[in-house]
Amino acid sequence: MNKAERIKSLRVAVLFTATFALVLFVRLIPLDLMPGQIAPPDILFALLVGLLVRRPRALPMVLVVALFLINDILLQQPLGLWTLVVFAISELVRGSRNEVREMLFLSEWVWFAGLYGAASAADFALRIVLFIPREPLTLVLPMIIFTIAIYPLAVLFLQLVFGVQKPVRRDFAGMPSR
Amino acid sequence: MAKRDDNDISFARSLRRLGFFLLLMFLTGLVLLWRIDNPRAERLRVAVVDRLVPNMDWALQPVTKAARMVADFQSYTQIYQQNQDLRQELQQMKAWREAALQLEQKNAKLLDLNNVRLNPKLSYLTGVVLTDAGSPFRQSALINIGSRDGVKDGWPAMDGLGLVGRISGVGRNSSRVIFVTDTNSHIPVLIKPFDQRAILSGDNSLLPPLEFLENSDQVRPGDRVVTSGDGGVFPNGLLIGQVTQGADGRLRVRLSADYRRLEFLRIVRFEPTAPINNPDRLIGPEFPPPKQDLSEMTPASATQDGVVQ
Repeated sequence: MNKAERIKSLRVAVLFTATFALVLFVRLIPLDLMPGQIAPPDILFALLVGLLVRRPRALPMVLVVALFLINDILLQQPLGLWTLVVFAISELVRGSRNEVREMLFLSEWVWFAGLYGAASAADFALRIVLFIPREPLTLVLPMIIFTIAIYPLAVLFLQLVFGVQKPVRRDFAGMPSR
Repeated sequence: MAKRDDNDISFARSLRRLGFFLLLMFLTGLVLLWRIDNPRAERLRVAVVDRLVPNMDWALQPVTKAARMVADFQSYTQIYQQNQDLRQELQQMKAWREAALQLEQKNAKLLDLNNVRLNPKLSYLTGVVLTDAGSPFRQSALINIGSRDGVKDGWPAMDGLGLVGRISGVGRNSSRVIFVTDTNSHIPVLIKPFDQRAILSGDNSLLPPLEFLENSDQVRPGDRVVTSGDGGVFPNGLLIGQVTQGADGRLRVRLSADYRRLEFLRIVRFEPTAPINNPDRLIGPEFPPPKQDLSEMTPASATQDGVVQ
């Protein structure tokens, strides 16, 4: 049982890394150099949280930190700031995954909205404390809304492509898992 | 989990906790390093990007080309209309060319009569755009020439016509161009024909606003905007665009560079009069002045500006 689990975890980890690289690659392609675009949703964060709830073993802390650090470096963000926030949040999710697993999907969605809001607020607060220029709110607010909106899609993607699902508890077996 | 020993679990748990704190310290340290010694951290970033991105070139280029071809194919539907427009434009251009040629001849004659010595023409390098900034908060691009090709920090980048931005961050095989539309870009400009000076500040939009304008009465929409060369960071006379009035009533600049189709960038070889050797230094003349000058000063002049002492 252990070995099969381990292989599955490894597969999920490789898939996550590949998806991460693909998203980064697509964002870096110089298709449109025009300014004034709409901020795309933070797909990587949604995937990370969805996966941490469903299969935390697949994502060791070092992998999370390494991937998001590369993201910070390539996208010209303050080095390590968003990684720090994501890392702290990811450990929070790991700790409370059992409660989240028992939620219906709708409440999980609301929980995710709160989580992403908290992450953005923490980023904002850290920027104020460290005197780092803040991104304009007109760009950040749509991004937060988009990210929350795509969370169900991210979870669906995790189910279809990664093949991970919320482990259904005995006493909740009758409930729909999505 | 239940099968394991209690000892085992608590050991793994404390190991995890240790790892968590170590990583947390590492990241906090990194953020603080970036905040405190920003130039060093940015050089670190440049080195990593320089290692990673040019190696992805084999994948980046074909995908970019393919996507551009798809975009071009979509425009084939309007090809007839485009052709008509181009013919009309070409006709107008021919008239302008004729006028320009005549003026050039006249100008050459007059310059010759006055014995005017002109600046040597600026030479340039050309680079291919590898990646964009990847986020809507930053306006920059990575190009495939770097210190190996002699690129230096601060050199202006142009497309065929207008100013695009300037080099900021040079790696061995790649360098980053900060666009004039980036919020960190502030360029001293000259507005023709009345030679009004202003600062062009990027604000993440295609029409960056003009700030610190001397006299807005002498600036009208349609006036040409060129770099003024103030501060010695840019050569003077590089075309930037035309003045236009934004929807908010502010005077803005319609950029001549075509950001929609930036594939190649011209990097102008230019030795700034104010050297950019320390990224953390304010750009401008050396301050305080070198000590030699002070010692050579005559006593009379030293007493005149005794405040300096």
